[in-house]
Amino acid sequence: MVLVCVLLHAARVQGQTPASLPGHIEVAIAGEWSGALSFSSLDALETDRNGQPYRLFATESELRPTLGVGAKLGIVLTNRFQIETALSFSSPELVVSIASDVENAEDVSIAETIRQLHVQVGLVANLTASSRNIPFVTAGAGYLRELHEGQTLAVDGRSLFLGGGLKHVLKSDPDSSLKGAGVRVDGRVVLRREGVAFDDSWRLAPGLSAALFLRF
Amino acid sequence: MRAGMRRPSLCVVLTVVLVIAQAAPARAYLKLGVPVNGKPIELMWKETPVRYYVTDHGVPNVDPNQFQGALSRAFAKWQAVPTASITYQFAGFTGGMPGEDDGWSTIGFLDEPDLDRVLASTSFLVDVATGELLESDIFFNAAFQWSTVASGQAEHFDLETIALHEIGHLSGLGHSALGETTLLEAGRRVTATEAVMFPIAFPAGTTSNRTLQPDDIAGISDIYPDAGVNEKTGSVSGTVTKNGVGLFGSHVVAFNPTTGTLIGNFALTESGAFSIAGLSPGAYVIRAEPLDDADVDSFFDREVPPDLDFRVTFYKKLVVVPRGGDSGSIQITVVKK
Repeated sequence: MVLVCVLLHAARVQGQTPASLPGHIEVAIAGEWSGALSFSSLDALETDRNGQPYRLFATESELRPTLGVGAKLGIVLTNRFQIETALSFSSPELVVSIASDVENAEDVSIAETIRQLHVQVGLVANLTASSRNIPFVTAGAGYLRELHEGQTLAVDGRSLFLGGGLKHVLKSDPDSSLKGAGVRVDGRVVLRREGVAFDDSWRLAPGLSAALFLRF
Repeated sequence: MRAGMRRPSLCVVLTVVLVIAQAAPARAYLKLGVPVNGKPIELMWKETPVRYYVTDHGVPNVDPNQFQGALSRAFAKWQAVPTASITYQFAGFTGGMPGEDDGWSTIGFLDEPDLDRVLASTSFLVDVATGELLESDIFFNAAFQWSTVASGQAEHFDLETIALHEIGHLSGLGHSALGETTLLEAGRRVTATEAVMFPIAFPAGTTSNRTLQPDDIAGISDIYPDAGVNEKTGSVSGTVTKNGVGLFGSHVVAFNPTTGTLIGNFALTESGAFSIAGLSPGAYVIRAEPLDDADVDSFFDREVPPDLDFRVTFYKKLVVVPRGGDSGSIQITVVKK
């Protein structure tokens, strides 16, 4: 609902950026940071004589924060709206912390490195169009392809995201083939499900990116 | 009848028991086997359905029909394992007794008061050249009180629960070490278990172990894999070492953080090698523990005893099990207690 309101607001803003006309293409390369993603806690259980669970040991799992790289390709629909697809790659660690072993094994954290490919498609709405600084909001959905360590097993996941940021136009020249260039920072919350997660719940993680964009 | 196919000179009788305290010596592996020219051969039925007869006499509180009903329910649970292909068939009541070398797989009661810790026992007639099971008898010790009441009965052992365990043996499974026990003066008391094939039963009056667990299902599916199951599941293999050399006799358990399942197997070679099959693809926590929750003779015969002097240890990484493949050999290094 918040997103819809913001998008409607964006649509009512008047003005036009000469370097952002329908049909223009915007490409960007980005450095990205993804925050920690906590998965479920799960105990290794046996069953006692009364049918009740008896804990052998306890586990907690998370995908550790990671840095990655990404590329974005956007197509300007109107002076306010842009559809954008993004491809990002990162290698987060999947960590399982083990504690409370019934036979007093040492508490340990064990891990594997995941190779994560994230494809996202979203709508970007510029909140203003005439400034060199263009705040925007964005929302969309994504597909995760995650490869376990050893590259012997791949799993799929889904994501939704909501975020916003600021584009700062460094160069704008409507008469050139390079219509514009600038930098862009994004912040977003990503809801993701499945993939290497140990359950089917939707999980929330923050994300940040900084990009250099070119507009053609 | 399969008597005509048997070759007595090549046959051997094996016995596996289920006890209420420390186990008596027995020959058993997770998968039962016999050595042929120094190499173990798995015991398995080559022809199915496995036909079994039920003795026509009961014990107090359990008549032959109730006995057969409880057995049928237990057989049905093994047969219902979707990833295994073994089937069973009730062939009728018989006046014969379990333990007779007659070519009939017979299940019945025997009064064995001297075996005061043995609830039931499964014996086999095996072609040791091929590992083929030719006959398997189960006896339930009539010296104990038995019940077939659905909700269980105080002071009585649940026949269906114990039958479920013995039918696992009849099918070729040995004992699982997925359980915890407390050592008391009178023997070991089971605290908890996660396998029907754990060698020590819960006390009388308990019905909580009437359900096959993932460890049992992995075992039966390993012996009698249904079509395609080996392509859908994978395995973890590796070695357990201590002070740089292989450790014999550790119990290695794979825990799946997605499903919560526990499936185990043993390191039974000089090099400490182990393999756990029948695992769903995914990432696993691997835990190695000493065999200190039952008498080691419950699991296997060996002149050299297994090494119990090491600390429970988790493998240092998550282990990925691929679909239809193996994790690749991992090495679990354990240290002295």
